[in-house]
Amino acid sequence: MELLIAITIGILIAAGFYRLLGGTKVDAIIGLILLSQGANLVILASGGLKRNAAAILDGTPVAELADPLPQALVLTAIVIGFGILAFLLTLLIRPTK
Amino acid sequence: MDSPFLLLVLPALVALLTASFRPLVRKHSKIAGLLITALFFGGAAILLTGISHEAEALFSIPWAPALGVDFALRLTPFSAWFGVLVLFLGGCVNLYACAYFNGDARLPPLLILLGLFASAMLGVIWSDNLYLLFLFWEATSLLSFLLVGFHNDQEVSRKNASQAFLITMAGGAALLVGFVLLHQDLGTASLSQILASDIDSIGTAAIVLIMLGAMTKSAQWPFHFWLPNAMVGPTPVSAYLHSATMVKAGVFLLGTLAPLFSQHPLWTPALATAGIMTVGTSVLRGARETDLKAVLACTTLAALGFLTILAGVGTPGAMLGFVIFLTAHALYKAPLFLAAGNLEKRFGTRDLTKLRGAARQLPVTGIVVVVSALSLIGLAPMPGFLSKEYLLKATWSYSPILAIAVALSAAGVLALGFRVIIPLLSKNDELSTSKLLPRGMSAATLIPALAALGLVAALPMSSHEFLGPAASALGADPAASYKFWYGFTPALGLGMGALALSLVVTRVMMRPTFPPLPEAFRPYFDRLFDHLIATLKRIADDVGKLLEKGQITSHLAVMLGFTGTLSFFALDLNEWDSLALTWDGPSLIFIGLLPLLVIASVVASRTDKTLSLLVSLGFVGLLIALIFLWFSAPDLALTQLMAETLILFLLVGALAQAKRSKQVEKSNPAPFRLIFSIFAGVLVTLLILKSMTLEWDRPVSDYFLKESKQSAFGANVVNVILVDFRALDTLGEIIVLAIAAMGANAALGAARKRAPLPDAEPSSLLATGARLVALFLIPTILWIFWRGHNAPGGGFIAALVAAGGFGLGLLSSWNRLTPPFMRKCSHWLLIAGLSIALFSALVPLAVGETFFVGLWLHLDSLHLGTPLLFDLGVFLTVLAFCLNYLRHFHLRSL
Amino acid sequence: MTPELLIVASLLLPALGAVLSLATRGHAAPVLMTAVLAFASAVALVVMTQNGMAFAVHAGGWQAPFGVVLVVDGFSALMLAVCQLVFIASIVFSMTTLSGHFRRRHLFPLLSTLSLGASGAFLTGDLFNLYVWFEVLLLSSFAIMAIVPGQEARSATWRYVVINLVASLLFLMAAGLIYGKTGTLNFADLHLRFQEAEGSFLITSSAALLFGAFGIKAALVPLAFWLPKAYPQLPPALSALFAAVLTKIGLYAFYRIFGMVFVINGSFPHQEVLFWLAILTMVAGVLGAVAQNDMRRILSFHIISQVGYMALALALFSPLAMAAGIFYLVHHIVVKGNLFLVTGLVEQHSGTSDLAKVSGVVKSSPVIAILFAIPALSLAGLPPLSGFFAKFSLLKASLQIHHGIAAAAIVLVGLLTIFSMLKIWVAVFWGEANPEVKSPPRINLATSAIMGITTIAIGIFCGYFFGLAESAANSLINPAAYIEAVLGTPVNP
Repeated sequence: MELLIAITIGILIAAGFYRLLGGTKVDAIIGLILLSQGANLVILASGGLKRNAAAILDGTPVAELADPLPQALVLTAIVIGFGILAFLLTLLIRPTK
Repeated sequence: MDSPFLLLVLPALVALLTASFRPLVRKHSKIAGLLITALFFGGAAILLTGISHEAEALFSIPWAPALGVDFALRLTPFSAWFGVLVLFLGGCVNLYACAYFNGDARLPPLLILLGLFASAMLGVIWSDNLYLLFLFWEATSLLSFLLVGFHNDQEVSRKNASQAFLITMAGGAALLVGFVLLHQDLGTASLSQILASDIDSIGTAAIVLIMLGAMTKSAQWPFHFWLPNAMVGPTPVSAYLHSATMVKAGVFLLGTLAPLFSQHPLWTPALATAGIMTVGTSVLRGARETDLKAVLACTTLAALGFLTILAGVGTPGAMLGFVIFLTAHALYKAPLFLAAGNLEKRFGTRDLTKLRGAARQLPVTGIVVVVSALSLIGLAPMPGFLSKEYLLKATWSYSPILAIAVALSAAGVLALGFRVIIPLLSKNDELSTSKLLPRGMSAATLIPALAALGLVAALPMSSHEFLGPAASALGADPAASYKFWYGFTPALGLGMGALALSLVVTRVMMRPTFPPLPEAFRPYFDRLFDHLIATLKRIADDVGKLLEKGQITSHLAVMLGFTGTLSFFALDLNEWDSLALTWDGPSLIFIGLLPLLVIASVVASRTDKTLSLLVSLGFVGLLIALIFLWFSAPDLALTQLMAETLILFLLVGALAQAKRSKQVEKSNPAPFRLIFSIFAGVLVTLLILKSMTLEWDRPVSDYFLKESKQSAFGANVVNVILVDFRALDTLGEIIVLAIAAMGANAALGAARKRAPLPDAEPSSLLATGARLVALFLIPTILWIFWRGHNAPGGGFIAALVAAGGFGLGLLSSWNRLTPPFMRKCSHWLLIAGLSIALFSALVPLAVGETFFVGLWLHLDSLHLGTPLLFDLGVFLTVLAFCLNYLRHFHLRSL
Repeated sequence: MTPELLIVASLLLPALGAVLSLATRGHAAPVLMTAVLAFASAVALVVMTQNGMAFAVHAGGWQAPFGVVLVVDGFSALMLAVCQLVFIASIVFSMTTLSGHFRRRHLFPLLSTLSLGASGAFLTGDLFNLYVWFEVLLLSSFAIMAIVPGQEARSATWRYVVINLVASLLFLMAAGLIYGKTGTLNFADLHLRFQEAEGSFLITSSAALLFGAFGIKAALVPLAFWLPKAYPQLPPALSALFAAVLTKIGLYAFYRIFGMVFVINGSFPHQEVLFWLAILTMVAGVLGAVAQNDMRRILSFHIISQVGYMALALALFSPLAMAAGIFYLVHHIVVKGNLFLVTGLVEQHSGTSDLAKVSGVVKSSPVIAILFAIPALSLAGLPPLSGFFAKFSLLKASLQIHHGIAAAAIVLVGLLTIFSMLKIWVAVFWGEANPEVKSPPRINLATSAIMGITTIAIGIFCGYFFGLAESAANSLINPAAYIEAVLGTPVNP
């Protein structure tokens, strides 16, 4: 399973780079969107993936819970990426003088 | 005197005073000149009294001990004598300059630079620390640059000054490296200690580099060509720097180090060769020049050549010759230059062919020219005779061949002297002037010549008191002294022979058919230098273009290629712990999510149609959210979904705009992109696998899981990490959003105006529906916000939902949502959000706790604390960000 | 004032300044005041850490490595102080030279957030937190660049943004991978784990990604393509700040992470690569500078070259080299900032800084000439200015370990630097004076003068400042005090 996840992420990243090197501004933005999502997945994946073990303390033995730290990091990364991508889009829509 | 070292700053102080009283100096130039000269002469006199009494005086303050740099000065009889020359001639030159530039606005800057220069020169000769010497050395180069380029509105001044500067700087660099190596070899940077060391511990590299440095400064072959070119500077500058002082710095260093370094096998041959070559080229050049200053510059070159030879030989006898040669040259060359200036001032030209008989018209100048030229030619009883004799004596006892070479080349130099003196003294009735020279100029020209005469007139005394001790400080025999007559020595014979030969050479040079220097001729090394600079500029041009021009994608490709390659080679493909690959059996994720994700991302990467782009991106986002959910990250899934939606909303507007503006840009060729991206993908896959294989224990996460409920009062560990454990990250994150919000304004402007509404009425169904949804949204938002600490939810998601609500309001054209309203809203929400967040971080400090600690109020099972307040700040900031973007993009997409 | 309070102050004063400025319609005054206070607190920290001491603030009260920790040692303190100085100068210049257009578009709050990002980067002791502050810094710089009007500025901004975003993504991936391999993000903890496991080979491949990310930010060649296009577009008040501070933060990251965290057995991953890239950067940068004909462009290319010097110092990795590198960082931030400010003065005076169009400034304004000469000569390495000691100590360090190539590069590049400065002097300051000139505001001249005096002071009091650099270098090479402050347990060497 890990192998498949890793390959999928690799493909996502490859798709992102492919787009990024496209040359137009839109290409760059799409590429960056894909890449930032890929990067988020990289963080989550390297931390180790567990099923059905959301890090909510509701009685489940702690040892079985998923690692909450990568999740927090990814959340921060998503938000930061979101903010930056939104800004990037403003550069695209600037009226050309 | 207790501290003669104060004299080092004397000229600099004079410069400072001049700088402070510029208008006064300009108006009363003559008085200023007299004052300054008096100060300089006074300094020289003080030094003079101290010469034979002090064996060696030292003064030292540490400056950067870790690097071996100390402000250390030492005064030996030789450096004191040299200091006398520097100050004495400095006084004369200042007097001259004040008379020459009388009332001119350019006088104060000139005096300032000359004063600073004099101090720098004294620094060079009095430094005991290698690096301090280097400091003053560079200072003299810099000041020389400014002085040579004094008339910098002329192109040739700028060019020649730059040339000299670059060459001496390059030499300085070599010198520094040599000094560092010397310091390393001997463990000390103090000259006095170095001179007492053993030659065997010194590496060849250090010696060679120091020689090179000195050779550039003293214009030795092959670095000689800058000196004649430096004559573009004003006459006082040429007289001071390029005859008496600055150029002597190089040979000074060589002379000081000679007693020790001459024991090295390379020293004497190298320096002797360089010296002879210099003399030879200077004679060849000087023979063809017609500019008086240029001819004098060539004779200076020759003199420096001879001094280099003497330093090269390095025997006690050579050092004896070194001192007298240095002295004599300074005392005859400076007045000759000043005289040239006089002639130029009165007759308007420096061309020898036009100055026939000029010396007869100006009596004082004429006498000085005669006296000094005789000294140059080396006729007794001038000091020049002594220098010639001692030079020949020293080289003869070292190597007769060398002595003969010296004599032959000296013949050429003497011929140059004749070549100057003969036209100037010949009878010419056409040339006449009734004007007299300013007295200052005449006096300044006369004084050094008188000093020279005085020196030889009082020879036994001057030899015993000044010259002798100076020479012995350099390694000469303390018992030796300067005499005119040694009997019929080979040196005398050689000298006579040289003189005779020079007369012949002069006749040859003075023939009318002797070809003068063509206008456009620049000697070989000069052209080589220019060529070097031109090549440099060409290479630089290419490099500059390489670093800058080009498509962004090619640049990205290079950068990413580099990083990827570096990472790839660091992957130890052999050392791989077995991958704990699990196989959960066929499940949703394999059948549905992953393949779909692959398809969606590939489509997104290739499509150009807007719709398929949006759909595929949407799918990618959605699938990733599902993957998050699958792998136990509910908060992530929610955040991803909301963020994705908003980005797509913004993207719609942006793509529409981009299509409208029809940007035409090149695309990279597909095969290259494909290979590159596949490489990147493979690399990332390997990296992920590698990090999955390593199973370290996770004390950090374990701690979070343990403490979250106990100490942080939250069951949703991810949320607790965000608002408590690692709240500083989140603070940065909302600041990023705040910056992004400001950034939209920065990039797009305030966008105050409202775009015209579309014609169609907004659907009333949409309007009513929207209001209903809004009604339900408010409690939902509150609920999401509140439950975040113990279940999936939290400030961020709540804010995104709220933003969604506003978006809905925009779409249904809710009247309240005008651009100014939204602008104000987002502005104040932003300030509020940031303030609350910062407040919650800082308030613990007020109660003596650490920054950002959670302060809790416990009401039974309800826990209220600053982290919740912080979450509120997050909420407000995120909302502000979303509102601002909705405002900007909504307008655009209309 | 305890060190802990000062640390918090250094971090949060810029944040406060931003909020206050935003609340007062973009006024510069709150930003300036908080900057001055932040500078004062940074200087206090420099004094407190000067004997190798380190202090930490554990945010949220959570022990390290669980929470995020803010640490100050000699190195961080020095960087904080000198960057704040340039920041103040930039604000003053912006106040007097940039029009209302800039102020309306949130220039001053953004400048404050930029300072915040920088301070956060210097103070944090956590890898992901570093990422966050980098993003704060970068996005602020993006937004500021976006304010500059004009088509060329826009295309330069686009290029700058995209390239730096890619770098950020590399950083992010690397942080995730490193966490995945080591289970921690705290610098001190990471360092200790590598010592225990006797190898940072685990993370060499991820370190390569960090190398790329920091290299792009620091403008090492071949990762520096964004710089020559971007910086000349900025008005000098802003390029002074960008040039002085932004690339140095990339270098700071190199020093901190590669020079301290990843060090095992006296070397760190990719040290050889860094060495050769440093040499390449030094040479290519200065050659590029020689080819330019405009002050802004020459100085921008110089940045690249000088970055090479500082990277070289790290790559040599001897105590003297590290001290030289840190001293160089401090010297360069002041000098580079000042040079761009002087460019601004020249532009105010003569209307342009194009070498072909300006001349004779030494006659029309000797003050500007002197203000240029000081940082220019310092950059060129003339004693007794700070630049000399910086280059000299680096030269010494190279020769000490018999690295001839490094020494030759230092000397050669130094000469070429002199050559390019000479070009500016001869074209701009010498020659016929232009009668139509304006006098820049006095406050601007004063600001540049203060920075010039700082350069001179650093040179003259080199003993003291180099001592600070040595102690800072020592805290990187032997981070025992740092680790103890962060983790609380004394570390046995």
